[in-house]
Formats: sequence, C-alpha cells, structure tokens
Amino acid sequence: MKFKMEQTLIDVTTMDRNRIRLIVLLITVLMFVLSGGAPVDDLTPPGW
Amino acid sequence: MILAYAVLLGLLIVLLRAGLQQRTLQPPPLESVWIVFVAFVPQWFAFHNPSTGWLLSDQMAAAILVVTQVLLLFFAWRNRSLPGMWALGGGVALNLLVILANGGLMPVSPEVATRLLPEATHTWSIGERLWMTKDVVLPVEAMSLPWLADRFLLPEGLPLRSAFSLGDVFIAWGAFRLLWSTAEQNQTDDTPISLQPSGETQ
Repeated sequence: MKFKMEQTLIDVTTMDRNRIRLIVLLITVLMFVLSGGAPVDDLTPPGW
Repeated sequence: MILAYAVLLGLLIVLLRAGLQQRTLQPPPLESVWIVFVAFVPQWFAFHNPSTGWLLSDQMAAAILVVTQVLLLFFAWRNRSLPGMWALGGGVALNLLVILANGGLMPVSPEVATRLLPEATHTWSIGERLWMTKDVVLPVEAMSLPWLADRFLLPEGLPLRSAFSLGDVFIAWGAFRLLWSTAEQNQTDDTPISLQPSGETQ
C-alpha cells in the first residue's frame, strides 16, 4: 500500500513536472518566434 | 502573429500525434529561459503594442531589434543540443544578417508593401519604417542581401496577409521541430514508472 502511494506520488510529480515544462516550452517558443521572426503581418497603418 | 499561428498549428499536430499513438509528451528542459523573456519585453513595446510602438523613432526601434536578436542567438546557442534549435538560431541569424546589412530594420520592397495593403500606399515612404513593423521600405536595388528580406507572400485567398523572409521559414520549422521532439520518445501508458527524475528516463 505504501509502495503504491509512493508510486502515485512519483507519477503525479513527474506528470506535473512535464506539464510545467510543456507550458514553459510553449511560452518560450512563442516569445522566441515573435521576437526572432520579422514578418510583416500587422497591417495597421497609423490612423486606421 | 503568423509565426504564432504556425506554432499553435504545430502544437495541435503534436497533440494529435501523441493522442493517436498514445505517447506521453516529454518536453525537454530549457536553459536560460529568462533570456527570451528579456528579449521579448522590449520588442513587445516597440513592435506589438500600438500605444508605445508609435512613440519610438526608427533608430530606437532598430537598436531594440538588433540587441534583442543577439540575445535570442545567445539563447539558441545555450540550448543548441535540443532538436530544432539550430533552425531557430539559424533563422534568427539570417534575419539579423539582413537587418544589420540594411541599417537595423528588415527590408521590404515597395512592391511587396503594396501587395500587402494596396489601399494604404500613401501611409508609407521609401526609406522609412513600415508602420509599426520591424521593416523598412527599400527598393530591391537599394537592398543588401535582398534574398533574405521579407519577400515571400502567403498565397492569395487566405484570410491572412503577410510577407516573410527565409529566416522566418527556418524559425517556423525550428519551432515545429522542437515541439515535435516532445512526443518522439515512444512511451505508452504501459511503461513502468521510472524512479528517476523526469528527463532521465530510459
């Protein structure tokens, strides 16, 4: 029983760590492409 | 934003693949994430936030663009062992190269600017920054490295209009490759739980 609980804790911890890493990865990649890329796609001239 | 859409599309494909093949996403740990944040914030105020973007001179915008792209190159170098990172860094390097060669902003030709928004040709001038973008309008014959400029257009008929560079293509590919790598390790629900910390699983 104790072993199962420890296994579950390890599983949850690993899952949470992966989830956090995925969120960090996504936000980082989004910030990277928005900063590193230079496309013209914001088509809003002044006064429009 | 077109690159953000590309990332979100890539994420959707990765999630579909992981779901269909019952794979567990295993995102790699990133080094020095703060560098990307430090690079992103000034760019947000200079190029993405209308209330502050218009306040900056072309020279100030160019300086922010160059410095922040150097920071991104440093981040890519720190994480060069990750899949897709060479494409991400290479794309930024190509963009930075043509930006430096043309005075600090990405060149775009008057023809491309006209095709993007034909009804707004009176809102830009040759030699000046194109609205609040990272681009400067330059005739092709006045550009350095014109093949690295924003010269590609999305196909007609799409709801989005955008001009992008070869470097942007590399960046989009690198981002997709990095996301794709999170589902590459073939782990199913039947895989025994490893007692090792995540990232060190066999």
